[in-house]
Amino acid sequence: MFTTGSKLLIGSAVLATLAAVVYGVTQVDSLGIVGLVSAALALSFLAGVNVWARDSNVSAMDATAVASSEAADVPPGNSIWPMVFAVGAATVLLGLVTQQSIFTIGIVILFAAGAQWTIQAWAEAASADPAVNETVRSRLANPLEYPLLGAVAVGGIAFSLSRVMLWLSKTNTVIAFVVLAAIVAAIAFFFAFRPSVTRGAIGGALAVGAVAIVAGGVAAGVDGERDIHVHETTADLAAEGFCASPEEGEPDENASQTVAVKANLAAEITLTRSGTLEFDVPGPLEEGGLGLTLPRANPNNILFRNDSGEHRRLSLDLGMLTEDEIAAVEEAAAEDEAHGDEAHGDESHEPFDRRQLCTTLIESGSAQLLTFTIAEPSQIYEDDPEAYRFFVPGTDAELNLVVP
Amino acid sequence: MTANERTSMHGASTPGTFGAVTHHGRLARIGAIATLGALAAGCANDAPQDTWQPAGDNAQKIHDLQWPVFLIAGVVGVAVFSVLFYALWRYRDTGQPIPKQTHGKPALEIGLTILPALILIGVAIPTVGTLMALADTDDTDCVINVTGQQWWWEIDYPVQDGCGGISQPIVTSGQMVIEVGTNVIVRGTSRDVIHSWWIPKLNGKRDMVPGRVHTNRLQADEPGIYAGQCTEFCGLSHANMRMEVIAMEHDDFEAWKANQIEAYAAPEPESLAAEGEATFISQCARCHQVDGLETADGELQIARPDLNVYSGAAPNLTNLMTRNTFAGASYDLLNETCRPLVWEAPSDRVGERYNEGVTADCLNEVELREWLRNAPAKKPMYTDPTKLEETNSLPRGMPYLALSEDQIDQLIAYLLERK
Ligand code: HEC
Ligand SMILES: [Cu+2]
Repeated sequence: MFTTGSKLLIGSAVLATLAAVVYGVTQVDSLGIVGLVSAALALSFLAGVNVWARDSNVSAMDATAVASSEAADVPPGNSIWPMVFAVGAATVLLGLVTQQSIFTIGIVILFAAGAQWTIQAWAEAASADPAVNETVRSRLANPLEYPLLGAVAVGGIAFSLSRVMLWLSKTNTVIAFVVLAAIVAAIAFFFAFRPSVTRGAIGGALAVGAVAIVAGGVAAGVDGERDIHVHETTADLAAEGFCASPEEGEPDENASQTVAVKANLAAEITLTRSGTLEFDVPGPLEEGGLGLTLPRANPNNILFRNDSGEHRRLSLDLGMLTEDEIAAVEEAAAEDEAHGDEAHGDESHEPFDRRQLCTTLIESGSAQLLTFTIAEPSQIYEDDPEAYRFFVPGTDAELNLVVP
Repeated sequence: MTANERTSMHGASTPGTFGAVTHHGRLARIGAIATLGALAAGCANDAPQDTWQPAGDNAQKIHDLQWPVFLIAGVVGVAVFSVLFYALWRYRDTGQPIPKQTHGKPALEIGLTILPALILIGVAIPTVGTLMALADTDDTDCVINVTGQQWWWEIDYPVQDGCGGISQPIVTSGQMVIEVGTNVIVRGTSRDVIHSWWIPKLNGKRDMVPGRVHTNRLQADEPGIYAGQCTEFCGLSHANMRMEVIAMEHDDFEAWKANQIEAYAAPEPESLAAEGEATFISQCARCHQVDGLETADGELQIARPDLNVYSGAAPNLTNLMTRNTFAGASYDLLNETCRPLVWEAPSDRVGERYNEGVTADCLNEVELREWLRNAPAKKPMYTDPTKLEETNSLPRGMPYLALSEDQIDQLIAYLLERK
């Protein structure tokens, strides 16, 4: 009737189905059911494939063959899988008492070894001929093994390469990988134009390459990533009162690299060489009138271009802070001091009482993005302490902001 | 399967088959009627949202593209199906010998690759040209911002030299007023989910996406009211998220603009409207802005919809009675007597009639009262205070405010002066 291998899979499929039903009745959470139902479906599918594949094998259908054929008499061969399975079990236990990641690795080993063991045992009963048994095994196992091993290999190499990239400096990364790519291409050409090269030589070259990459990855990973410069956010600058000041350590040389939203600007504001602020928005609007109008209660992306010839920032002034807000700011500042926060230790800055936002200081010729949402309309448009305006600290440049 | 089973199944199948035939017959009839109905609906000649009746140069460009493309597609479709059906019929199995089998026919194969390629190129050139023309922003003369939120459009006119000059921002909702012949550039975005702006007689549709600004050109050749509605499913009241473009002559448009920025006129002291103003400040002003409205102690009353509504906005009511629909352009502010005077006005009177606004005699008081009495009962919105965990207790739409009938009387009197 059913072959040995199918029985295991059919049994597992039934078990998973029962588990799904029991889980579904007792538990409300849907994730578990999804998992168990998927398992049941997968196992049923495998069982089906199995029955179908082995049922065409006459010897398997023949009851006498199963009981008394040579295949039935041949003792099982050596197998590495029981040992790997045991390693997996030990890793799982180890993981339970130490780290979740080790536990996960253990589970993966356990499943992989279990599957291999099962398939091998099943294949060994196929016939008396080990060679035939091996093809039977391969037919079932290879379609699973190749993609999985391939994915693991590719993933491992990609991960190793990424460690190396993060370890080298930006420029060296570019150089190193151009050279590496050239070497790979050269070797490929060499093999391509020398059909006489043996498989062994190619395999050896690939193996050496893979080992080198992984070793490099491990070494780089252990040594750690290069220093990656953390930029101040506009919120940091505002909180520290830098928006009204033309100073702040060094200018941000990489300002122009904030490309993400350049394609979708509400407006582009330029500080010109003659020291005025000019804006450009999609459509025929030009500067003039009362200033720039931006929608209320909606995030706006503004690109600031600095063409002035000096290091400058764009600041936005949104009126006075309320007394409560000033108190909160002062409290936060006092706390920073108490904790010896040295972020801008040397530079003293004025206490401030206005709601402000700003870009970092940028070099002339570069551009930087400012994204903000304004909740309250600007009811006052003329010169007034509550009017909204853009300005550039250290210059007279100003631009009114109208928020309807 | 046993022989017995087979017979019994066969036995059962006979009456079953008869049943199926009659059933199919009915389905076919219903299908045919439905198809005819759908076709007939396509022929309605006063459909307000019909891309096949362009009323401005942008829509005309689309029209000039779409009819030849449909024509070409139709001819190709008819040709392909004719050949197909001819072959099916001509070479059906009548017991004839199987003809000699050959492999390939290069001339035919190459021909049938080149011909469709040529047709596609022929269609692609004008398509790309039209797309570029419709994406152009430089030849437009007026900027209007449009912001979608569940479930209405805010429309604002930034300060500019365009639109014949705008010196103070104008904020309105649901109805966009433009000058005839002017190519307007709509700059649209959204405050919550993706919406889509579409005035079929004036241009194609454009998705309005949070965090992005998308443009859409609008131009109308003749004065008139051009309807549209949100065309990206955006939740509960998607179907009640409509809008209109009102195109009017130059002088009417200038008059409309001047009226929009007129300074706030407080109601006559001690009048019903004055009581309405106080009620408005206590009940409505936290969400709705009325420009120039002052609190009792002389401070400007500034709405904070960002603290009271999930999208962060509620319609600006400064000039409510200059529009003639409300709540996502879903309900009329004009009653049945007055509505046709504007909506069916001869083209040269549209602007003048529209600018008369909503007078006490013309107000659709029934529906406005229903709205104030219980807005979510009129238009489906997420406002049930017990079900707002997801949005931080903030409603999406206008909540039920438990106003008394007296308060509603006062508010109606007050709102009637907002123009
Ligand atoms: C919690 C905020 C909130 C409060 C309070 C509120 N509304 Fe609204 N109101 C809204 C929102 C949001 C809409 C838009 C609803 C829609 O169209 O889907 C709206 C729409 C309206 C409209 C239609 C406007 C138009 O242009 O389409 C009117 C009129 C209106 N409200 C009047 C009032 C009055 C009068 C009060 C005070 C009694 C009031 N509202 C209180 C949020 C509020
Ligand atoms: Cu919508």
